Parts: sequence; C-alpha cells; structure tokens
Amino acid sequence: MTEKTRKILICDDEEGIRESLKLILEDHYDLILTADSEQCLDCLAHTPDVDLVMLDIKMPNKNGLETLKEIKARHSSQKVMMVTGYQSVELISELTELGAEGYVTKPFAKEELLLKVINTCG
Amino acid sequence: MYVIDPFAISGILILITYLPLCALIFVKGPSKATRMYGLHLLAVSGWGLGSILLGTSNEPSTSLAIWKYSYACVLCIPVFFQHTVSKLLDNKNQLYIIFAYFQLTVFVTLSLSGHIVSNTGIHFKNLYYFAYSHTYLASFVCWVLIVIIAHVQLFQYHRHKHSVQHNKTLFWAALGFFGGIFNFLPVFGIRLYPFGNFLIPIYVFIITYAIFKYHLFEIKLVIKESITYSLLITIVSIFYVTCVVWMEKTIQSIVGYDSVYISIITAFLFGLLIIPLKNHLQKLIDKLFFKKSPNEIALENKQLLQQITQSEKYRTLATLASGIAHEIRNPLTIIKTFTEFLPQKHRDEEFVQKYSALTAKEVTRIEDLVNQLMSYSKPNPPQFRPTALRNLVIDSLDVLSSQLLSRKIRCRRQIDIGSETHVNVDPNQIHQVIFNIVLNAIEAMPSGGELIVSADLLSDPGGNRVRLSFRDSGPGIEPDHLKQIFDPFFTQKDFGTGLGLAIVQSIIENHNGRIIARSKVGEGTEMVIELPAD
Repeated sequence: MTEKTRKILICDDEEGIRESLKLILEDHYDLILTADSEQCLDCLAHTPDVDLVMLDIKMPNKNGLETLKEIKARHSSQKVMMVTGYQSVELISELTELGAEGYVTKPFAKEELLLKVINTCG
Repeated sequence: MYVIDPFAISGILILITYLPLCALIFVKGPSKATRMYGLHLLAVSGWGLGSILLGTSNEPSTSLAIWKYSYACVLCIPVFFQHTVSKLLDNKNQLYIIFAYFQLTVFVTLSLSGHIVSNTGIHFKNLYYFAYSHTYLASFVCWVLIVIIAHVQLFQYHRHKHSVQHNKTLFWAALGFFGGIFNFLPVFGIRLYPFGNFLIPIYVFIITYAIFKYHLFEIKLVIKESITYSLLITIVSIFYVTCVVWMEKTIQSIVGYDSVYISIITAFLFGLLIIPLKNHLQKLIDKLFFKKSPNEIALENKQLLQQITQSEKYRTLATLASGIAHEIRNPLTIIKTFTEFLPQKHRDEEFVQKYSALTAKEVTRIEDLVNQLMSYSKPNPPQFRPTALRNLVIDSLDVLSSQLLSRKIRCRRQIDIGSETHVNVDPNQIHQVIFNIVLNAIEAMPSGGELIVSADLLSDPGGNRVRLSFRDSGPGIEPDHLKQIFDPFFTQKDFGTGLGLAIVQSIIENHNGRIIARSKVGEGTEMVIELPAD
C-alpha cells in the first residue's frame, strides 16, 4: 500500500455511492465523507489541504452545481470533480464554465475512476 | 290573405342556427377574438330576425322600416368579422379596422336615417325590396371589400399555421358570405330571388363543425352527440310547422272554409312525410358537412379524447422513463463496485456483509423503479390505498430532478409531513398529478428559476387535510387565462394538448380533494392541492 499523501473530500447523499467511492479510493487517499452540501462546505472551511472535492450533482436542497459555485467562490483554487449520472453536453459545458476540474459518470469502473482522480489531483 | 314568404323561413333558419352558436361563444369563448366573433354572429342573427319580419310583412311601408334596421345589421356583419380576424391574428396594423368602423358608422347612420333604404321598388310576390341608390352601391362595395380583406388575411394565417383540411373548412365557410351577396342583387335590378339567405346557415354549420373539430377561433370543446341532433330536430320542426301552416292555408283557400279537421289531417299527412324527410335531411347534412353520422362523430370525438388523454400520459411517461434511467445509475454503480471488488475481498466478512446488504437494497430499488414505470404505463383502473404522501412527493421529485437540473431550476423542498401521514389515494394518479404540475412549472421557467414544493398537514373540524403546494418563479399567468387553465384544451404553449391540468383537476376531484391555482404576472404561479388525510 502506498503512503496516503493526498486528501479527498467526498460529498454524496447516498450511502451506497459514498461507500463505493471509499472502497475504490481508500487504499490510495485519505478520505472525508460528507452527506450533503452544508456538511461539505463546513468541512472544507475547517479542513486544510483538501486536494480534491468529489461532488455528487443530484442532492436534496442544495445540488452539486450550487455547491460547486460556492466552493469556487470561497476557495477559488480548490479542485473539484463532479460525480454524475447525467451525460448531457450542456451539463458538461456548464461544469467546465463553473470551474470543475473534471467529472466522472455513474456507473463508473474502479480503474476508470482511479485514473481520473490520479490525473486530477495526482 | 296573410302569407309567409320563404324568406321568413330562411330567417328562422339563420336565427336558430346562429343564436345558439352565439350563446356558446359568449359563454365559452376564451378571448376577445372569440367574443368579437360572437358579436359578428349576433349581427347575422339580427339580419335573420329582419328576414323573418320581411318575409311576414305584406305592407311596403312596414317593409321599408324593417329594411332600415336589417340593413344596419347587414353592415355590421363583415366589420365584426374583420375585427375578429384582426384580434385572432393579433394584427398590429389597425388601419383596416379604423376604415371598417368608420364606414360602418357612416352607412349605419345613412341606413337608419333612410338615405340608403328610401323606397320599396321591387318585390317578389310577398317580399318587398328597396330601390337602388348611389349610397347603397358605395356601402355594398365597402361590404364586399371588407369581406375579401378579412378572408384573405384568415386564409393566409391558416395556410401557415394549420392544416390543409382546416383551410378547406374555411373555404366552405366563406360560402356564407357568398350566399349573403345574393341578397344584394335584386337592388341592382337583377330579379333573382335572394335564395342566398339559405346558404347563410350552412356557413354556421361549417364554422360550428370547425370549432368542434379543429378548435377554430381557439374555442376548444368536445362535440356532444345531442348538439347535432337537437339542432337538426329544431330545423326540421320549424320546417314542418311552416309547411303545415302553408298547406293548411292552401287547402282552406281551395276548399273555401276553415275546419279544425283540415288542420289535423294536414298535420297528420305532413307528419307522415316529415320522418323520412328528417332522415334524408340528416343523411344529407352528415354527408355534406360531417362526412359521418352524428353517432360516428360523437364516437370519433370520444376516441380522440381518449387518444389525447393517453398521449398526455405518454408525455409524462417519457419524463418518468428518463428520470428512472438516471435513478437506476446509482444502484448500478453500487452493484458494479461490489462485483468488481468481490473476487479480491470475498474473504473480508465486513465487506461481504456491508455490500450484500447494500446490493440487496439497491436491487429492490431498481425493482421498485421498474414497477413504478410498468404500473404507470398500464391503463389500470384507479386503485386507492393508504399511501405516505411524503414518500410519494419525494419519489416524484427525485424522478424529475434531471429535468429540473437541466433547466437550472432550483427545487426547494419543504415537506412538513412525516411518513406516518397517510392519504387514501391511487399513488400512480398522484404521481401523474405531481409530474404534470412540475413539468408545467419547468416549462414556465425555460431560463431557470426556483420551484418551492411544500407539504403540510391542516387540521380543521371537518377532518385532517394534506396541503401540497408547488410555487414557481415563472412569468405568471394573466387573470383572464388563469380562470381557464383547468379547461380542457386550454393551453398557452405552442405544444401539448391543453389537457394536462384538466386531467389533474379531474384526478384530484376523484380523490375528494381540490386544486387551486394562484398566479401573479411577473412573480410566478402556485398550484395548491388539498387531499383528505387519514
């Protein structure tokens, strides 16, 4: 097992998805799991050196896009990767406009996810 | 001897065909254009009344007075029609309208003051006509000009907007005006009996048919079998009574004395003839204008209504399918991850336990989603059962979340009822209600906005009720339109059937609930549903 030098903050309202991401990434990264936008923003404000935020788009109350906007407004250099079931061109271009570093679509394969995360945050 | 001229019969036919349609339009007409069309029909009815009076008047001086009034009505006919077309087309160029009303004012004043109709010059047996004058010619030219302008505009509009069939209907409808022109000819010295008056009711038949079949003038109704029958029976009855009276008078003039027996025998003889006549007339009307019998038309309309209702359901179903396709991705992700890690972690008890539970849960979730789709697509009769409305609302919003997201609409949920609050509903139908309302809200906010969905429990002495509210930040609905949004076929969109909210209202009423729409232009629209809670 490699030494975990990078920290990833995961935000998804579904326990199953959080656990799936954890299963794929836990051997390589330090993980913080949050279940909604509020927890995510709170955690980000109090945790230094988060290398990557992985955000679900469809979440109750404040969705991933709104959360992404807030993250970028508060921490402009924060890297964010979106986790989404939507694959529309419009959405992808919007994610880019809002400053997301990348996206991964569900259902993802573990190698594909890992590769995308490594490419984004090293 | 007192004699009724056939011109009176044509007047009766005009009156009995135009007045019901006129009333229908004033009651059901959704816009200023249709109400203006109602005025047009009222003017034709005025002419119909004039025709009755002219056909029954045997005095030249009385005929002259009636002509003054009748001709004023005739002058109004094309002007109100032109105004209807202008409203319908939302024509910004008011020049035609100003011209039409200006000449109307001038010629009506001239007509009533006796400058157009000044003396009865010619007559057909018992029907007195007035003599030619230069002012009459001027008014006739204007009349024809306005009719032509209105029809050209209407044809152009429908050529772009509607089907060929629709245009054909309008072409036939123009027959009414063509018929009307024959009434002008005797004044020009053409001794042709003004039989064109009989063509005028045909016009109304065609327009009525077009209203029912093609929603002409945006009047959207479903034809009722009884309307066609009632109209036909009324026409035949009037024809029957007129014939009996005429025959009775003729026989009396031959025999030379009045007898109640003659009247009874005449009525009986005509009674024998009138049934086959009515049947033939009915067939003729059906073939000429409706192509089908009234029963077939009623059946066709019922089938059309069913088809449209079903297509409205398919529209919702497509949304549901797209939402479900997305919803299925989450359980698939979980199952996929589990299976990928299973070969290397199958000895890890904690992993197996956790993921077995998660996978089983996610498979059930997929099953529920598929069942939801299946049960919605099947035309099942309503099945009422105690249902947790909270879950129903959340599930529906979850399915619609992809649509909300793609339109940049923020959905705020304020669900203040717990899962223990049950309502006795058909869950599929309530899903359909929520889909329809939310989809309407989405369509009202093409550039994004906010949708607030709230649910709370209301307690009053009559029993508990659950209140659901959907408030969007769209442009809102004008008060005139708000009154009609639950009317079948009413729509402000360029697409859709206009049945969505009518179906929603019918579902809610079948659940002993009620639905209210509130809206303010520039602020948004709120749909509030109240359902009895257990």
